[in-house]
Amino acid sequence: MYDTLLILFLLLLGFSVIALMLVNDLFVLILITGLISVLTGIIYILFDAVDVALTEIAVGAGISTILFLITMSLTKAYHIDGYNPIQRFSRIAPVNLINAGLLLVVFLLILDALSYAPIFGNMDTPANSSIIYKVYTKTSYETFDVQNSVTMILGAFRGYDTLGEAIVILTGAIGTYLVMQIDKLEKSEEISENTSSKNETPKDYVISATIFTLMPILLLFAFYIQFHGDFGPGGGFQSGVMIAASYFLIILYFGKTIANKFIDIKYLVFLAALGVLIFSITGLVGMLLGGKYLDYSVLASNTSSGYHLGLFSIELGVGTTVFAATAIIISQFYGKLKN
Amino acid sequence: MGILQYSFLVPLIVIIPIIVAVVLVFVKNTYVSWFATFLTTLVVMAITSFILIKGQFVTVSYNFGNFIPPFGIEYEIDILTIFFLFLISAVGFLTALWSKGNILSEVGDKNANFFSSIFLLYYAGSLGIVITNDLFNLFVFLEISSIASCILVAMGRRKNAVLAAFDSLIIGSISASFYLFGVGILYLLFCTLNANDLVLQISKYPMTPTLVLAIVMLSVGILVKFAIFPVLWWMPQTYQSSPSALSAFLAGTSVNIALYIFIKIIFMVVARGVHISLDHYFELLLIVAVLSMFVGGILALKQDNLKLLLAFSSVSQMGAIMVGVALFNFYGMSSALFLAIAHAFIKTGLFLCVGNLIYMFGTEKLSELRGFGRKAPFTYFAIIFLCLSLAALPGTSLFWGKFYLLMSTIQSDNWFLIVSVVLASVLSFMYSWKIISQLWIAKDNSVHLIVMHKKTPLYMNLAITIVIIINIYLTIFPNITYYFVEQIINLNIVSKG
Repeated sequence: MYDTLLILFLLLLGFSVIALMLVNDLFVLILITGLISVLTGIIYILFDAVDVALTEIAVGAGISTILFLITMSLTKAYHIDGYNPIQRFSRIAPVNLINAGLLLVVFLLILDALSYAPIFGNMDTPANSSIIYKVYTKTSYETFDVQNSVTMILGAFRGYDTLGEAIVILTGAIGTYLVMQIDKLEKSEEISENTSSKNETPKDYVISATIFTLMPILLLFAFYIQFHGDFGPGGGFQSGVMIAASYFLIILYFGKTIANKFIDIKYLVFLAALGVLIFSITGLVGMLLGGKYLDYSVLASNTSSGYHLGLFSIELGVGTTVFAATAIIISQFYGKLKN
Repeated sequence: MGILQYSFLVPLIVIIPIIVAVVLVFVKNTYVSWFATFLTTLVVMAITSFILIKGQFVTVSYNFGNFIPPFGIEYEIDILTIFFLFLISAVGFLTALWSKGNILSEVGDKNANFFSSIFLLYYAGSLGIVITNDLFNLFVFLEISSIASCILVAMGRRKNAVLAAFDSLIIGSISASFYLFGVGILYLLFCTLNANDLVLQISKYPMTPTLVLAIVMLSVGILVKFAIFPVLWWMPQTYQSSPSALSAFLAGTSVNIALYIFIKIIFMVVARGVHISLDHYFELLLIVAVLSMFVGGILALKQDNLKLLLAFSSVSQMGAIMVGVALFNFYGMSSALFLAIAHAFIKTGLFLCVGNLIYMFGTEKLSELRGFGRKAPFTYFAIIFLCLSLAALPGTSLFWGKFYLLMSTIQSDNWFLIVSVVLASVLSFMYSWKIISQLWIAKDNSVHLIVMHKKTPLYMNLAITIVIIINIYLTIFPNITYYFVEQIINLNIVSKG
């Protein structure tokens, strides 16, 4: 049963990749990319990697599809004109053929080199049998009483990397905000003329029905995995992306001006910074209470509750930053679309 | 004893800039945010110099979250690390001190707090790359610093700044992907990310093509970051389009960061662990380094834009440093490290001077700046002094580095290398002379210059003065640094040639 399902989804994945190469319409192409993410997510679930599956579906099928669609509308490129894969192949210049040949050689070399690596998925490989793997999977439940070992690895064993990634997301969001600001400075006069007429947005019944049934479930699930990351699959990152998706639904329904009144973009930047601040201060508190940086065991009277408190707090930080950063990026690009 | 009880200072080197940077997002006042940046860099420099002086060649390590090294993330400060940490924090301090007027004139009042905040994140990222002993953590900080530098480039509001930022973002991603692929393969083989643990594991393991693939991927990732020969075009473009404070910081640190990653990964992890000789690897590296020395030098000669000229000169100097590294012997290594420090301070100083010119006249083109000397005597003499140092005239700091490099090539008995190092030095003299002759000897063209500010503020000149004092110090006492470099090599690198 398990193998049949796996083969089925792998075949579907293969077909979608082939379809991706043959498609002419960019809208369909973007939807197929989302489909590929969903299929990959399902394959991850079959591998029992639910956390990775959640992330893959939320980011790959959700946020990046939205961003691709907005980009498509911004560039007004809906079709690849005169795109015919077979004809295109016959017209390739000799230089490209040399490049393709080089790429093929490099690819084969890499494939050959990787064939000497431990067999993927085997129980005897270092990744599945080394002491690090054993300590990670054993101690997270037995010593620290954290049920989800993925959260334990991301939040505690390698918590400092997660802080770094939260900073990367914050930096990316501020960057998007600033680059869009630069553009706005040049066109500020045009915008002030246009905004007054843009208040009225058409309210589509399909959109409103979808939003009002989908959003409560989405938000409930998002908050559930936000505060439940140390017990079950999920955590701050996935939840932040989901909340940002529901923010996008709000923008989609009410239009950007009303959504801006709801949360101003400036406060979203503050919120993103606040998330990283919560994370880094949690680490610092551990240090002030006599432990090392990001040591959660000193936060409460016993190790277990200390770890739960620490993980809760950093997941809150990550969730806040990811939500705010994703919302900034989406609303900035969507704002360009309206103008 | 001594330093080990101060080990709590180790994470603070990176944590303090991060927390201040995040808090600065909320602060709207330009002066407050500049002052906070200045103070932070000062504190960090104080911590690094404290560890440098107090921790005499003792290795200090810090485990995050109180997990023992292979399980958690470890910061380790040995003598090589503290050397680079001090360098980066000092360059950061000087540019932060200098940057106040520059922020106002090139970035604008409105986004000044974001500039300070992201500048600090870039600073923290650079320090984090150097201080960490964990291969994946290095990748995370590499990402922070590359994204932060892209944003800072875009904030300069110069022509094509956004495009240059985009280019450097793409190149940064490519380099990071190669690096990550290499780390991934190493994890597949050994299931560890800690550098010390990795050395142990590699030495137990026979040499297979998979390990070779990992080494190749890591090297390509680092060399792209190094702006070595085939992929050097992105770097001058980045230097040229960014605000001057960032150009100076990038020029002073990015070479050193890439050099440090290279030494750390290739020498201290790979070369220490593997059982085969890496001679062919280093021969290939020598060819690339020599090519990049010449291409950088020749392109520098052709530039009219002062920032571009200096950036291409950086490419050429990086080639020279790489030659020293790839020779893989005692003199080569020490010349590379000495060249790295001397070059860092000279380039930072020169970019700060160019920043001064932009602050006063709003241009960096050599043809427009002819004979500006009478209007800006301080900057004028600083540029002449630093250019003479860049030309590696006898009696300047860079001369000692070039001298040791020549010694090491003579030791390696490779005539082709000796000739190419001498020729590259001639090239570097030629482009430095081009700057001096255009600004000093050429006919006065300064009537056309629009004077935006009559003189530069005191703190700008103070920063440049400090750079010049450091250069003079390095010139007079190269022995002290040389002794220091010697210690590093004795401690860390196996082959002494």
